[in-house]
Amino acid sequence: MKRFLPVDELARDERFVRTSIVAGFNDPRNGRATERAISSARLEPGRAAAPDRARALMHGIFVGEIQALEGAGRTTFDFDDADAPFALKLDMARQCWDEARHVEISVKLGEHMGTEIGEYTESTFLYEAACVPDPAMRLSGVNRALEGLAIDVFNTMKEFGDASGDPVLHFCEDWMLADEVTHVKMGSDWLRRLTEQDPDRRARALEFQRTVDKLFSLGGFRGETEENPVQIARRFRELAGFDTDEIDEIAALAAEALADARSREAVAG
Amino acid sequence: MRLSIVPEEFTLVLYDADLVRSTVEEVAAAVGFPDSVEVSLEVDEELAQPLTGSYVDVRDGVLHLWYSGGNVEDTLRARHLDPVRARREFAMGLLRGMDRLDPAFHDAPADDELTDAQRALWDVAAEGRAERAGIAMRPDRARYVYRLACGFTDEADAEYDRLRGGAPTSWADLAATAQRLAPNATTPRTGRRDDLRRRR
Amino acid sequence: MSNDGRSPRPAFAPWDRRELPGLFSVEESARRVGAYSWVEQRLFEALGGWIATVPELDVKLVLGRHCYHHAWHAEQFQARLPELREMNPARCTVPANDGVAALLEAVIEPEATEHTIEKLTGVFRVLLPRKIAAYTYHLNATSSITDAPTQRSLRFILQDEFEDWREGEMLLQSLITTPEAAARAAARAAELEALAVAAGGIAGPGTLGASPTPEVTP
Repeated sequence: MKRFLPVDELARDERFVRTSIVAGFNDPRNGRATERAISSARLEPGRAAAPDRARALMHGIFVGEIQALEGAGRTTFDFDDADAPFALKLDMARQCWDEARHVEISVKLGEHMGTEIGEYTESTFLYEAACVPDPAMRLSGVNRALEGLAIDVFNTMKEFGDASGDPVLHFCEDWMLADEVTHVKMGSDWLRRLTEQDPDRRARALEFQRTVDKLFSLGGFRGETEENPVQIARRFRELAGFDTDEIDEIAALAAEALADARSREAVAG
Repeated sequence: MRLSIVPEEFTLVLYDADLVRSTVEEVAAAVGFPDSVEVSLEVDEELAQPLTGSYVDVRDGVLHLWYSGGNVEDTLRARHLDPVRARREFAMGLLRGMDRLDPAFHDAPADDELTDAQRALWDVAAEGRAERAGIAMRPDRARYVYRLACGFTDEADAEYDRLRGGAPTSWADLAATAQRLAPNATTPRTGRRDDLRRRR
Repeated sequence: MSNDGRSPRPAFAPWDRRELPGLFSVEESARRVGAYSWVEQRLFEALGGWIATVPELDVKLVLGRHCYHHAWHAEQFQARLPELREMNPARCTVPANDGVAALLEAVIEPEATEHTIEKLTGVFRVLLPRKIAAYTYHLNATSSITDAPTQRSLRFILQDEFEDWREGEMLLQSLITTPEAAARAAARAAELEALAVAAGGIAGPGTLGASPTPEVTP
């Protein structure tokens, strides 16, 4: 088996249909929904299309967890012990187990919410972030940016479960949230250890994290306003070791991503 | 059946208005929709998956059906019509329209004045009838929507089974059931906060 | 006999039949543990790498779970090595011989999406049975008093190995549904078995006996 498996070689069964995030940019309907009488884009029960939006998000979580599993798995294999010490690979193996459980949980939750595997398309740019050849960048991009996003998403879903009185959703999301906090901590810890003697490498890794953070705030998906379906979970991010400046920076990136999306929509007319 | 479709031609999505028409006609025959009733169908092509929503109202004897384009969109191919979803959605709309034409439902408020629980209960009854008319439904989806509106409780589930199973119903029955479930319902509201049809 | 706490009792209860002698010296136990650790490390890395290459969702998830099991086994063995006077565990974490290295290389080699049967056969019909055999031999042969910490780890690890082997075998049986698939699995197992035989087992010759340095009974 070769090292560094490119994204187009990810193995899937026939239920999965892949899509590119760029494909959505050219949809002439973009931005038109914002003109409608919707008081908030937040994912809350009772808001427009809440069940379908929750289902689509759950399917997104499901495919995201598969890719997180695959990414953590590749990190156990892609590097020599010199580049990625045994203890790091051990953490990644643990993450494999956690992500595999998250996939299982997501499948069950999807059934509970009335969706099914392959009902929505899969975008693979989470795995793409897990393909970078430097383990420090991989850890910052995946464990800090993407697992950080997972904290925001799971907290949003947990609150959705709480507000709708759905005991199953609330219970499961809370457990997954606990795992994600651990994964972010792993990422922060390994980023510090791997780049202890190399400030330039650390700077590059953090820059990569910013890029991924911005990508995943695309179109205002995540942020801290009524226009963002997924809210930044400050308290859980703090538990995971993000300081206030870092969270503020993510919030600023998210605001920038939303502004970019609005500009694109304005240009498209 | 006199059927008018808005828009006559779709420009933002790749829906075929003729296919929409034939689907509605086919489903109308399956559910026994009366030929004499005029139907006005609007599919709002500006709205996409997963921003779904629908309204069914009767004004001056005409059945008005409004759907977000997302309701009939293929979840795997953006901007394409999913004929299977379209059959389900149109069947539900026509069946609820038939209810509205029935004196037993004349007291029902307009769709945008229904609470989520009232709407969900009505949808459940219509889903059961659609399935018995041979339309392939997705009960797993319906049950979740219903539970979000009426509560994740055994009592709510029992009502779901009763209505889906074909128990005779009326607006008075649905309203009373919604009222009875209200203490345990999770999103008790009088009326829906968002209206996808309206512009800001 | 009084139970006032003052009356002398034997150090070993009547039902405690553990014996002092064992077949392994400290060095031999360390050598074997290091060899096991090397195998566990290569295996968990391979399972991790394969996750992205198998299209079967259930297999993908099982690989994710087993990946951690084998990493945890490696961690147990790594933790034991300094207690066996190997202060540089990396020095001892090597394949028992070139044959073992060749065996693992062959087990790990399949990559193609359509080779799930080959991947799983190597792990569950060749490597895990070999590991179970080697660990069981170690468990039975070493001194149950002097090398008890290794035995304790081996018992936990064997529990995983048995359960994982069973799960993997069931996956394989569910995937092997045609005579052609059965032949593929058999051919793969035969190819790898030959390498395992040439290596003498995962700890080299003597994996299941004929320890090169039998411990002298004190």
